[in-house]
Amino acid sequence: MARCYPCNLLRCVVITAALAFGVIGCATTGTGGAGGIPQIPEGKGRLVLETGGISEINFYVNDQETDEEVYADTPRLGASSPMGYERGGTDRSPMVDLAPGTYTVVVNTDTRDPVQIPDVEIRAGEDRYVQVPVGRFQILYSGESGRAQVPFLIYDYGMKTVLGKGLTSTEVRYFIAPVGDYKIRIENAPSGIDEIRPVQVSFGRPQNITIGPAPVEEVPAGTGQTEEE
Amino acid sequence: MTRALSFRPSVGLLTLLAALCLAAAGWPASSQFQAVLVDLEGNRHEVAQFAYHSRTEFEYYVGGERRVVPFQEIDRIRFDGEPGAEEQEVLVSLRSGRRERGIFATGAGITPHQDADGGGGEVAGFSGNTSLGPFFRRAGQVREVILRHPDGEGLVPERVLKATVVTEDGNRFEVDGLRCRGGFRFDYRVGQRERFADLFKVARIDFEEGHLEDEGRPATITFWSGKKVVGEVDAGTVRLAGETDKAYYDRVSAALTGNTGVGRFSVGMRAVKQIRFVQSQTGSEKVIAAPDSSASPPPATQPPGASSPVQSK
Repeated sequence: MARCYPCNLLRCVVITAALAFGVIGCATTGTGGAGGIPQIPEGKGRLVLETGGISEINFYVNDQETDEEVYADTPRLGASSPMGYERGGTDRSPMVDLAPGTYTVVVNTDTRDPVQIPDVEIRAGEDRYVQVPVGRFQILYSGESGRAQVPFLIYDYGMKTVLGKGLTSTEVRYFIAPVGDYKIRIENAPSGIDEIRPVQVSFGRPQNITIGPAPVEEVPAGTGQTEEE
Repeated sequence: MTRALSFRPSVGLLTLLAALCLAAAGWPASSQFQAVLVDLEGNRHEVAQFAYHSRTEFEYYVGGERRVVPFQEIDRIRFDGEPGAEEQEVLVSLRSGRRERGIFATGAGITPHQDADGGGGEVAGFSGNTSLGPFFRRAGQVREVILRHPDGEGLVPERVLKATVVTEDGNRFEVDGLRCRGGFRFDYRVGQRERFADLFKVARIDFEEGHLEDEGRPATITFWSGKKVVGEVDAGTVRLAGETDKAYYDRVSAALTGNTGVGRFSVGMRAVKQIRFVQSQTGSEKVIAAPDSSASPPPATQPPGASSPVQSK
């Protein structure tokens, strides 16, 4: 039986439109509901930071008129902290409800350069999306005995200035920096290690730098092979 | 059969169109700058939401020193040098009339390192919107950038920071053009929170004695508004693994730099006792347009941690 071409075309248009509106519906706020994003409180507006997939970021908000800090969030540990690693958590962009006004948003990175976004206007009942030009990278260092936790320095691309310091992790750990090109250096004089790698920090695209041999997976004893008697 | 084959591209095309529409509608523009960009062919482009590598500041090197200058301080940038070269000479004309000639890295973002997985692929360039739609030019394809400022095209007085620096051994220096780690930002930490103070808003900074083995040093920052903040400043003297000689010297012995009556001044954060700032006078200063400036002479070499024995009272 031959298919009706206009019917097929109409069907695919309806399906595509439904998908599109469904995505739009997920992106809107204010509807509340179980497990959803809470409504914007009355008389306030919502600031949403577009961080390219980074759900935890250290930032604070200053009132541009009074220069007073009105909100701060510091969920991340320092880059050189030995206990820092990604803990999963929500996939939501960082957001905060603020009174109407003009604010400066300051995002702290793992380099010494914070990202400042001035003139952010918040209006009552409205969302204000602000794109923060930051990205993240990961350093995976493997020594003779596998993944290791080693200190490293973050340089500018010309290696003139140390912009930050970090400590790798055997877990998943990302370091946040403003968008741009950097170099990282791992040096250990006693063992003769001196590794320099360029790092490209892009918005929304984490980069993983692997240094050293890939760790060899240990085969559990008693699996696969049997001895011949 | 023919109808079945023509069905598949329609679904894919419509889905792609819907996705593109969503992406275009939900992407907020961050930059508020406008500029005229002249490419190597001589074409002029009027660009709105102008940004470089998604940022509104320009990074280049003068005499081996890194400069990061925000767009609001720049009048125009001229790129001289071979097109396509990874490093190009630039002439940056600031709104104060001063001009700096330096080196700019253009081709750093083309090929990721072989050890890199993911990310990268983002070519450094100038982006924005024109009347014809989204705009992008690689940094190596640009001849000149002329920034448009809403407050006019006239000269803007350059802000100069003046202060009296008192060191731990009792020496006092009257410093002109004071900078903290190359800029006007004083970084400090309150517990786990990292903050900074605009030095033009600061009246004085008093440092407390800290243990030599501590990386941080307590400091009290008093603003012109009367507000006081107590925080901790990075004053470590231990050399970090991987730190070059220059980087170590800049961090330990040249955290504060400037000029005194007899020459260049530099001192480390560990050696400072107090900084008293002179409140800046704005609007009435005469602007002197400097000629093309080469790199400023490097400060005199001195042992790490030592104060600069230039002047004492």
